[in-house]
Amino acid sequence: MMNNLTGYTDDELIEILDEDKSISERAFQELYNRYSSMVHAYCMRVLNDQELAEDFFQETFIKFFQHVKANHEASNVPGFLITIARNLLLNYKRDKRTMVSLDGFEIKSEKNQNYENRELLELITYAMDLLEFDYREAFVLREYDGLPYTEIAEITGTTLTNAKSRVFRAKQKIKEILQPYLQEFI
Amino acid sequence: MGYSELIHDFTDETLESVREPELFNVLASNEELRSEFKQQLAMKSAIRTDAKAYTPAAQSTLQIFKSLGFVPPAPIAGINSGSAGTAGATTIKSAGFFSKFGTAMITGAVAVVATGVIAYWLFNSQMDGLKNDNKNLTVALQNAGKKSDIPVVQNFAKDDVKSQSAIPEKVKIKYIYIQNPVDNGLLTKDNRQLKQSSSGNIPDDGMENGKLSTDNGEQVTDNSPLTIRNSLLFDKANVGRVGYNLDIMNGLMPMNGIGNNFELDDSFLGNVRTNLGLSFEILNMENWFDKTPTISPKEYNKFNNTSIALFYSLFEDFQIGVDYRRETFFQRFEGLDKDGKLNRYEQQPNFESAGLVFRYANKDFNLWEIYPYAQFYGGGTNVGYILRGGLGLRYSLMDYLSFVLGVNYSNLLYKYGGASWQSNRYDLNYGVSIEF
Repeated sequence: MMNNLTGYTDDELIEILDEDKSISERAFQELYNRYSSMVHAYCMRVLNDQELAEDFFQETFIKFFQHVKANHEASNVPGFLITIARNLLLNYKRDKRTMVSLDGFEIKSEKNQNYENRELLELITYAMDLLEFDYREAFVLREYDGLPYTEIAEITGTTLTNAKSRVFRAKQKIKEILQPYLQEFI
Repeated sequence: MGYSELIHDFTDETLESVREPELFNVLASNEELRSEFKQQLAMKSAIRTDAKAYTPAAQSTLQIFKSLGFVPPAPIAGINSGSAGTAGATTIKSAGFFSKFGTAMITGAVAVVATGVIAYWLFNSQMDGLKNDNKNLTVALQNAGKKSDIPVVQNFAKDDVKSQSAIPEKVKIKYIYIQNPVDNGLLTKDNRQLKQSSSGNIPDDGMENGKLSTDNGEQVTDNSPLTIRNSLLFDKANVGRVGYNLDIMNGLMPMNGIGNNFELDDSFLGNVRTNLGLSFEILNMENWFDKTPTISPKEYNKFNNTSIALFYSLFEDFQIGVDYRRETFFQRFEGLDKDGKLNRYEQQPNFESAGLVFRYANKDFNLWEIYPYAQFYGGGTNVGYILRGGLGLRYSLMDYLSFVLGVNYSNLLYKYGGASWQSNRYDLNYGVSIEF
């Protein structure tokens, strides 16, 4: 039995996933180790709702495994995982539209407080919540998951230029929202 | 392209290097842009520390693996799936000494405690059964004849007859080499050749022409040399007489032929990256006995101190296997002969043993491809039961090939003369394991 699968490529692990339980379990665990953070960050920051994010996160990996077992293939595992998560998310959004009102948006701030990354992070996540889905998603895929623009374009079904533009605009928008507070962090 | 976009591209690591001087020049002269640059760096830095986003709830990990019928990763497995919902569930702690080494520490601690318990149980031999057997034997000895002829043996299990200073001991040792094994490794005494190694007088005890003559059908434990030690307190006339059966749980596990049962398909070795969950292990052993042997076998079995084992992975960290080995134990036991005289026997027979091994190997604690294991063995020979506890390390040279280094504590339990006896041994074992 293989002791360490860290040296295997995604494609090799996908092949092993099709084998019997004892070995496919380890291959799945290796893939999970590689991409769980990325998928979770996507779910968590696009939804900004931990409970929902955990549900989508679980569902993503379960559907991924079921798909591989059924179809015996999956190219570009990280992209495929994000696509599954995205489809789940879009289905959810289609069924239940939620709106975030700017009026209800408040940033708790205390003057002269020495913010650290944690506080800035909170502000960023609040600001991200105000972005349109397309911008927020592109921002998360780029800034959190570190995906190349070509892949972001492919996942989101847009052009490379659009993908770049969305990330840039998202960042600009966040910066605008946080402008009064960002001064404290530099 | 505006300067904000340049800054964005730079922090995004997509700015062409030829444009970097342009950006740096502008940053050097424009404080507002420097401020924006710092803000973007601060945002990027903050995002990278977003542990909440990057860390799935342990509960989620558990649910995923359970849903797929998999064993959750070790750090997650201990979490009760029903204890909490998904929101706010426990997150995986990825840092800290205990989270890094905790599993290994727990594994080690459990193995040490288990080995300690087994060792205590074996060493002290104060088990009720043994205690009672020895007590009964002592009583029997004390009641068996004239007081002047019978030693007072206070503790057979500890073999402390010598400690009684009032009882001078003169030992005569007879080396009895057994020439021909008979069925099932049991011998009749008719086949034993006697050799005298000491200058002491050997009393007439029924041996003729250098051979030990005893009643037909009497059996000794196996085909190894037999030493008979006699104290002056014992009746010399009966030294060397072994006219009684060794009541040693014969037929517990007939060992002969077990090695032939491993009919491995040749194709096993042809494709080592299959998923059979099997591993074949061959080890050599270096032995140390708890009592210094006074006699060695005249001839050791071929492949003595060698074990072969076939393991099957029941779970990720748990293996069960069959183990066959050739080994020796130094035995010292005492008993009454037909004439009611007490003799002490010492021998180191060749044994063939087989048994089941239960092994826990924690592969999560994988430091430089080395990980620990703990195991328990239960088996036997043709003379008695063998219990073995062990700890060791495995080094994965390749996916399918590992080096094994371990220590075992073995205990042979057998019966003689209505009493229970035991022989203990430590061994250092080393070898290779091939996984299929």
